[in-house]
Amino acid sequence: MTVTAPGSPTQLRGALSDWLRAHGEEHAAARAENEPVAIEDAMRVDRVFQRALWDAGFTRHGWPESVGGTGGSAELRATIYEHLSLEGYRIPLPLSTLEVLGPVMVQVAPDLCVRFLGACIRGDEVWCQGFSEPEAGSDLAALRCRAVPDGDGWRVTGQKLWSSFGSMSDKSAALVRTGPEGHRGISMFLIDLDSPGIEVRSTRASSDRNEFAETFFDEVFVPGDRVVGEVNAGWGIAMTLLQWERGMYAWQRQVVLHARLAEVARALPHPTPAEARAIADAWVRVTALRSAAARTVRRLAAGENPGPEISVDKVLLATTEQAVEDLFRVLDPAGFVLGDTDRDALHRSDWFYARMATIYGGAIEIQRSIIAERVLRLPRAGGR
Amino acid sequence: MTFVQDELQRAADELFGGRTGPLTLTELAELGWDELVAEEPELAVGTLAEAQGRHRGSSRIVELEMDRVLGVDPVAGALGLPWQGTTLTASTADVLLLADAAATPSVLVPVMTGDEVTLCPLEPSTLTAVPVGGVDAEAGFTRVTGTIDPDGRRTVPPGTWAGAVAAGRLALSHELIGVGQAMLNLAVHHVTDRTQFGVALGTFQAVQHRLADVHVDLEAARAIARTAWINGDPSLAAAAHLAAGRALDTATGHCHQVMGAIGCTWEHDMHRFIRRGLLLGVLLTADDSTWVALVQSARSSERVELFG
Repeated sequence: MTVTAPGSPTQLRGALSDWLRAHGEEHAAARAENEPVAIEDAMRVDRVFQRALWDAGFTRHGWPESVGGTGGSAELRATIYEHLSLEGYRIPLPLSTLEVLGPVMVQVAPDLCVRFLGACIRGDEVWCQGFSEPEAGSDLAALRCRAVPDGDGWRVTGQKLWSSFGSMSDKSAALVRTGPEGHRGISMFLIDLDSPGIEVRSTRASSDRNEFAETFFDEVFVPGDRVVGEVNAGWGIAMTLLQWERGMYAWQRQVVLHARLAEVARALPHPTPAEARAIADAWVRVTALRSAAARTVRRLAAGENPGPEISVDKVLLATTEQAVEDLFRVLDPAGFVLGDTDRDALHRSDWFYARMATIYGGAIEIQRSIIAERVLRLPRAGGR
Repeated sequence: MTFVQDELQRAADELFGGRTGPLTLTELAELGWDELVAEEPELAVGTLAEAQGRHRGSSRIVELEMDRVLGVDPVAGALGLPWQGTTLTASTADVLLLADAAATPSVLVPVMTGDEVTLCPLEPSTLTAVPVGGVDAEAGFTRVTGTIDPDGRRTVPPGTWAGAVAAGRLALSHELIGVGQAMLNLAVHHVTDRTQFGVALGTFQAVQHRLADVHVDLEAARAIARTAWINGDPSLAAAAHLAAGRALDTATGHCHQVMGAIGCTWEHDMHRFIRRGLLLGVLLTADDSTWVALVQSARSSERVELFG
């Protein structure tokens, strides 16, 4: 089909509604209420849906033409994600890691993106992050996975873990040490996960889903043209990328949390006063998250750097995740605690996922310290 | 911050800083208040109300926002604001007037009959007006009780009262945010200056994280208020008001704590901001209909457009 410029967000929403009315039945499995319990099954369904959205042109908007997009602002992507949910569909899983990696990569590694990013936007490939290591979590700059020059490329040896969707991914955007200790000696590589010398093991999370994976690199050859941006410039790239994780990913999560909250609220047509207050309280939190994330997405889309204030969004995201998921536990103990339907299992899984929200991408304690020292300008804590 | 916002904030700080009495209607008129609100409502109300909160100032701004929606002439009469103990369905009224409103010729109160809302004057012969002492006498509120005069009633179009409450809550949100911001500013100043164990209190993470949470809650309230200004949805205004109230609770607890013993003295301003927050906390509080509306919003698939 011919893909044209999208016009306004309103037109885009109307077009998506029309398309879903015509083609929705083919993608019933991608509807929120039909979410498979196993993440591998969800991923399979989502990739089919993601490809269809691409073929119909919707997920091309907001990406540059060089990667197959139609151009326009990232706000168009945010509009699509929310409207999918309002129409009852899930945001395809790979689009969450895409939104963390893609926007920064098209800026710092345009040539790599011309070659590879289109496959990721289409849903033909899934990409994951390779950031954390056994000895480098919140203290990410302590990472030790090392790359040494070898001919026209590099040999990578080390270990990565907590990579979301890692066992289902084709490529990893991995931070590796190419220079001295500290943040100045880190580069980002885009590594094919089927390269010789790589072993990927999925990690069964507390949510009972194989949420993430650990990856072992044993002298893995990575071509020199797979360096994202400049050698030893990986730290700055990773920090910019975390801004998108705190902006667009937070936006995607508010979309999901709004939908979950609506599910709880609709299941209780006549809430008691206490139930009504609990639902209202969660809605206030989700509304704050949506407002904050929208402003951050607008800033990022305009090329602005939101600076340390973005840690506020991360704290709001984490606390809102937990507030919403707690509602299922509080308002539906028969299902949440005792139930065995797929829906019950998913609610439990989501609750455990929400516990991770104050940990992943920089623990909430780190965010609070950033706010205290860099926004409120309190004196720096000792020892750092 | 844009130039205009910057200028207005400076003007607001000058207006409220260092004065003792309320900002009067005359002074607001000199500022071009009506035109400012007509052209830039969010900027005008947001900036002035937050400055009022930060300086523990007083004015009729919150009521004026409600008057505007209801078509009440603030010179001819003052709207009695419902508070936590107000019953809107009775034949007698118990309402609060904001500072500078006590001098107006008449007091109007909302009366609900089923879904219908009327604005009624109070019988002058039954009216008693007592300056509010209580937790914060400095706010200059007046508590008014009296019998409703049904002959003078004026029916308000459906939804207009909800709109007026929304406008009042949104303005009040900004004032609450201002009070909380003032507490945070005091606390930040204190923990930066005060040393114990040879280091500034603010270097301790236990202190840092409390104040970070105050900032997060204030920003959450500001974020909702921004969205509420887009279309005046009563649920969003209620949400902004609830979030501002929560931010103030967080600020009251955490800021008071990190101030240590100095914050427990009469001399220090902390208790004055806490008192102002407690007083403002009884205005336009959520009732059963608020919770019903918020739950309905939680069920809804409607969202305010934030892009494009």
